Amino acid sequence: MGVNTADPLIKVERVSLAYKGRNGEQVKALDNVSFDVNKGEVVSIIGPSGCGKTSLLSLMSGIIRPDSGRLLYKGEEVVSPSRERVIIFQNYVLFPWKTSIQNIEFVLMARKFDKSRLRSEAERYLKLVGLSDFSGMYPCELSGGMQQRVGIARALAADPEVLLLDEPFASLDPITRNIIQEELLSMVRKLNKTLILVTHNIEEALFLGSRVHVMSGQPGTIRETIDVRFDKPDHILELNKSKSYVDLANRIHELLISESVGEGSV
Amino acid sequence: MGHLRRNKRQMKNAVGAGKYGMAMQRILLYAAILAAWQLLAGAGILNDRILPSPSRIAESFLTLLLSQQLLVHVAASMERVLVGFFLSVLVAVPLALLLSTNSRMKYLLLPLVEFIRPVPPIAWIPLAIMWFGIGSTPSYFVTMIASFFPIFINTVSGVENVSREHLNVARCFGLSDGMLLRHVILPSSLPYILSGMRVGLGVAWMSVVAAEMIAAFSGLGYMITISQEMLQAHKVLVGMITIGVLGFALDNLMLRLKRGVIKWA
Repeated sequence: MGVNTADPLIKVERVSLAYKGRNGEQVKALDNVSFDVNKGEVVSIIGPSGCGKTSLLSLMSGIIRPDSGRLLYKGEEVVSPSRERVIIFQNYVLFPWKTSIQNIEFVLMARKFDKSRLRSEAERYLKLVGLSDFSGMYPCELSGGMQQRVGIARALAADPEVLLLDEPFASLDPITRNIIQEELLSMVRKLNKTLILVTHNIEEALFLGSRVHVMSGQPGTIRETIDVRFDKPDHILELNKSKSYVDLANRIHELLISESVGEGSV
Repeated sequence: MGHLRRNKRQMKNAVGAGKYGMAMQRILLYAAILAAWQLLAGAGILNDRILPSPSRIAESFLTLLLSQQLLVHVAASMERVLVGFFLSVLVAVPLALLLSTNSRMKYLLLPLVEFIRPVPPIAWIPLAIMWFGIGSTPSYFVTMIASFFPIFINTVSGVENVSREHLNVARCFGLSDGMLLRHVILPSSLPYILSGMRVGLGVAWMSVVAAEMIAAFSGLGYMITISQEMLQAHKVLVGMITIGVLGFALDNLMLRLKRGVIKWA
């Protein structure tokens, strides 16, 4: 079957997932989750810790398979990972034995780039994240923010259709975080990538996402989906000036709060 | 346990001396021991045939060095240990990679390895002589066996300790099996492999001496055995000291190699 342009790029259909708990019992991580992602869209998934949002990302990448339901990418079932859908990790997960530039080169190698073009092409990606001067440094010599920049450059070097972001800013200090959030948004807009962001930060979810799925936990389900329809400011710190932002943020906050209260009364 | 936690600076403060003071104390300690030893020997309290004086050992060392006898033995032992060691690296690392990345191979071959491992390297010497006769070959064989297990076991645990996250990155970015081995598994286990090589070289050096005591007509092991038969305790001691110093030097070399190669830690 051909790919209809009207079809969503990613279709998550009634996906459930369980893992083995400490005592061998089945713990449900995700229960009957469904949503679509269109090409070029930025979707945020927000929820309390342990609601299965990271599992959802791993499922979309193809690193793990669901117990029931299916995930379709371009109309075909996702059965294994692919460079078309790469993850940007919370803890960067660079290869510590490779320098910044080598951490990008291996992706280009996997893409079968000509050897003579490897270095210059990798340098281009490093420049994109402003790290040209740090190409020969090992991850242990870089700050958290720089490491995540390399992580972003590595993901872009795969030339993916979809970027899967697993709380990518959670371990950064607030200032670095805001800078990288803004950089990423402008890059994504320019390159027209589809982006799925998993986070527990409301500000971030609304600043980057054009749609926000609010999840509730144990087992993870989508509780509400919010369309974000206000003009985004250039800087994340200016969000508070927008009345519609504040309303949406409050709404999500209430959903997450009622969730954690509900959890306590079970 | 408090004393174990003291760092170097605290140690210095504890003895109330700086860097040079500490070094001085160490030199003085060893000088005092040597002087006492020399005095006891000079006074005729120590039997020269059982424990020769330091000056007698030094004299013997110089004679052996000048006559080039010592160098010939050192060269023989060194050659044997290095050949055995490198053969061992060539076999142990690929075999360990094969076993630890292929569960079927692991199931089939690991019991064999685990069963041979407790056999001490010197227990292989009789068989080595029966197979290869007297000369260098039994020593190659015994040093190879001796260094095989530390290298093999360490390489296996290196591969087992490759982080799941790194493997996920490799899958996520579509690395082929060859690239996975070259860019992820090998570099990730390299610190383990080098530690195994360091231990392996140490064990090989100890075993070459044992092998030469029985199965060779040259080398430091042969030298101390033949000196014992001729009741030349001073030559036995020269041999033992040379073995100790060279073993220490080899270990140091491996440590430097490891630090030089692992630039990212």
